[in-house]
Amino acid sequence: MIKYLALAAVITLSGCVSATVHDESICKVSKLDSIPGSSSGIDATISFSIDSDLSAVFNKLDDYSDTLSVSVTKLDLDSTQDLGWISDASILVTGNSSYLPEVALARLHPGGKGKKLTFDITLDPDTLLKYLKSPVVLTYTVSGTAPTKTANISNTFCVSATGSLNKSL
Amino acid sequence: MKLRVATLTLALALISSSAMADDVKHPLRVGFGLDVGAPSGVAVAIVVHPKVDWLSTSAALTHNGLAFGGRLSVKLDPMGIKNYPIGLFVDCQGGFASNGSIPGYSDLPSFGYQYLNLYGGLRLGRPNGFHWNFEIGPSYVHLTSHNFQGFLGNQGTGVSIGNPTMTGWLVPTFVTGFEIVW
Repeated sequence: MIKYLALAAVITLSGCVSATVHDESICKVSKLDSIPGSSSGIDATISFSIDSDLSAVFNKLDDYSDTLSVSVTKLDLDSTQDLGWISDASILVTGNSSYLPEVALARLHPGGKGKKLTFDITLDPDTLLKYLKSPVVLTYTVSGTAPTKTANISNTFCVSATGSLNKSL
Repeated sequence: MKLRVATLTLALALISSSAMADDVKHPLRVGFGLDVGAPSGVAVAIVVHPKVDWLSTSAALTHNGLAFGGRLSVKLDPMGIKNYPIGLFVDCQGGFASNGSIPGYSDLPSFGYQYLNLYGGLRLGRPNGFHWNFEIGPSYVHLTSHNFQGFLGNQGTGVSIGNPTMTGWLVPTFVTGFEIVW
């Protein structure tokens, strides 16, 4: 009898968790350089860089997950002025080590107009995760007929993360 | 050996058919129950035996220490057919716990969950009277959290983090308690 009670206690007190943890939106909003206005209406290509660091969040998620996958859910350029003058734009990402060289992250989604532009991600998710676990520099290059008014630009970058968890209690 | 197995099988079949023939039907038995376990917490239930004692349903009000919730259960107890004082049963429970935070720590994330328990159990006592249940098995849980951003306090860096969710299996979980059915 005592043997069976002990077995029941062991079964009850031991156990396991097998679960998927998901966060729909890990976001960073960054203010970028202003694009000065010009009355000349000439074609221009403008580049500006910004530091972005989500590494603390993704390294913590990676520590607690058995497997971790990410997906970009939003990568927008917002402005106080109309951004329809931008005919082309791209974003490059560079990590903080020689193992994370500058690579293409996204290109402008065609047909954008208004005060918000959307980008299409060109970097595969596994490589993206390597960069997200490090502080990175995002380099924006926009081309088009220069605006007549100064445009204040901000960037919204959101990622969803899903990790699997298998733990014995 | 084969003859013994065949004889035992035939005997069980005869007992079952005899038991079904003797199965006492009644309009309705109603009672109440009190149990404790995880993930449901403490539960106070209304128990109903519709027509027969080998089938039992219950609806419970639960509290997991953080928030109230509810739970429904359907139990199949084949040994209740002959009103045996001991029985083995299967119990399928579905429930939820409302969003709750630790008292006095409203700055910490709060969470709520929904669950499905698939239990096997042992009944001590007759099904149409007082009996004590021990149940154990796996639970499938979907947990949602709230106020995660407030807890992390990342507003000043421009980083915002959504409230994470967790879905998966927790093995084993348990419930134990009594029921009284008249």
